[in-house]
Amino acid sequence: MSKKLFLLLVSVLLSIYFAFNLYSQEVKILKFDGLKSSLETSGSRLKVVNFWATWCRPCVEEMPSFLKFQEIYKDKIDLILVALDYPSTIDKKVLPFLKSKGISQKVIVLDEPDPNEWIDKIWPNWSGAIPATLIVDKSGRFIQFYENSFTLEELEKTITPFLK
Amino acid sequence: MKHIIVLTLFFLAAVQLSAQNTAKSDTLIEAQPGELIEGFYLLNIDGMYFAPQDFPDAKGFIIVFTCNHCPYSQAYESRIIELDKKYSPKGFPVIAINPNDPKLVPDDSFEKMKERADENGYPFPYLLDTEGKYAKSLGAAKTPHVFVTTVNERGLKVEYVGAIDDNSENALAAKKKYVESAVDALIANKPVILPKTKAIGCSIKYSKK
Repeated sequence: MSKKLFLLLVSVLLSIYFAFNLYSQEVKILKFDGLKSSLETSGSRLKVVNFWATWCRPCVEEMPSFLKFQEIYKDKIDLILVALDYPSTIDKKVLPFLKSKGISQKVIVLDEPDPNEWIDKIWPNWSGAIPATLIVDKSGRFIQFYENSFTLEELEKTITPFLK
Repeated sequence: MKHIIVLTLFFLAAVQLSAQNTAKSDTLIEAQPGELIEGFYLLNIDGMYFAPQDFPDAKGFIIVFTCNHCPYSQAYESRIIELDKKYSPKGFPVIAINPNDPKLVPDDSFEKMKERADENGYPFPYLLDTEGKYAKSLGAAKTPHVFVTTVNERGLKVEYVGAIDDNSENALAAKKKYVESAVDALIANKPVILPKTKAIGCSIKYSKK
């Protein structure tokens, strides 16, 4: 095989690999303790943790705003999408949804059947309704919680003060 | 200088307070176990209004805020029917109430409520809470959201609030049947051991006014 042909083949394979990777989503299945400890890990950015599900219409509607917000402030925030879909529906619902929306953001699927065991540990006043969004500061403290939908403007207004 | 600092602190405190107040105005406050709540008076899918007085034999009610469109409500639908079949004869009928604004969720319109109740043979009233006023008065935030009450001379007393059981996906895998345990205790005149739980649900689409 000539050197040129080899290089061409390698570059074609690499570009296929990257193109595929760009749209292949990472879905991580976690138990609550795993989720909590990953949120409580200190880091260099503010964590914006959005609780959603593919079946939750207002969640799906607000997702583009969160993605856009993350894009604007990518040096300052980490957007963490926690899907509350049943783990048994990852292949049928969650992955096709992420693919159809072109979402490459990392998604966590929480594998816990009884929300009564963990809702209060996220935020004691959370009723359990979604969409809901938790703010975690750089040191891993849960500092604010919102049980409502957001537009991009509302995210700007509400979240950016935490970046100061 | 000192004055300026003190004034600034006062100003900040005032801003903080007013911010909290605005937040409070649209925050739902869930009626807690032990609290007295008003009775419902709402339109049923058969065109008749229902109030607690229409159930003279009832010792209490299993009030379930639910709806057509929410997958969690759908997952619990057959369990809600079973609750009524089991407990209505024992004096605790299910009262299902849809608090969603049909303008926001067309699937939850009065017509669609009738259709769903007919198709699935609801044995209980399925009431429309126009503008979600009753749900708001109880601080219901999501569907399904259950309030088990007893009846006394002053009104309805909340005895249990929260989830139906500990597994929304799979009824057979549910180990803790929260509502059943609460109602069984009430029937036996015993205290409800776990009077409050939480579950994930669809946020109630309250009409925006």
